[in-house]
Amino acid sequence: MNLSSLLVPERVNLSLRSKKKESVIKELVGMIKSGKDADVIISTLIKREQLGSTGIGKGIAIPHCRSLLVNRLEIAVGRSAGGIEFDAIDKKPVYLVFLVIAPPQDPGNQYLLTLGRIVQLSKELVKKKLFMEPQSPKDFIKLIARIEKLIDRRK
Amino acid sequence: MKEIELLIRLHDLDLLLKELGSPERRKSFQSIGFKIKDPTKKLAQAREKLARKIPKPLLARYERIRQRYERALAPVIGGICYGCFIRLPSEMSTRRDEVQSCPNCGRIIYWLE
Repeated sequence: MNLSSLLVPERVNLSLRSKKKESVIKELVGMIKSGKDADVIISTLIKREQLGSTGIGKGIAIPHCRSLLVNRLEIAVGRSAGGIEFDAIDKKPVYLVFLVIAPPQDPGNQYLLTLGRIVQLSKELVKKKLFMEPQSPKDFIKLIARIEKLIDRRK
Repeated sequence: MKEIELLIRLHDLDLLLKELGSPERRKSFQSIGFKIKDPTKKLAQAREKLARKIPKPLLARYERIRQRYERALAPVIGGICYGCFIRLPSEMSTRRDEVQSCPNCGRIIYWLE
């Protein structure tokens, strides 16, 4: 599976305004849903965070949940130059957030595969803080596509 | 909060409980790199709190449908119930804020456009 094919520039925000976990989640969900639908999804994502932070360390967080309010996998990406307090497992600030919302059931369990792919990509993205280089959402998606090619070639 | 919105919240919570409740299912997320505590106690409390806001007969209806089908709620997309894939009478779409059931499969429906 290719993450770059699931990303759209309108859902990549390279200058997040929020500095705290909950407000970052709200900012990112706002790119996918609005109004009451957004409130329901935010509430589920926060409940998920309470079971263990999705800040996986090295400046990356991947908040995720399933929700009845989407009918396909939805992804939003946010970057913060100043860092976000995310209660990550290494207790360090988070700079890059991938938010993933999946429908209740999805063919081939794309949800788990996507989460796994993001973790795999993150290991490359944190090298020399590569993820801070792109200046536009389109460049960010191109960077993801380039790293995915590298990863796939190694297989 | 509208009753249908409460039911959607409850269903999302039930999905989370189902996905992370058993050690086997939790393991697939942990193997990716996430650290997850056993959610049973914490989410059960949240579920109880939410369930108290839902009128008892409606909650009982939700639980009854859930026993029959895995999912008690089904989205309506393009006028079709995505629980049983039957086209719904168009007049139903004029009452979107009400809790309605699919006349064919009985699942509680919500509009997802």
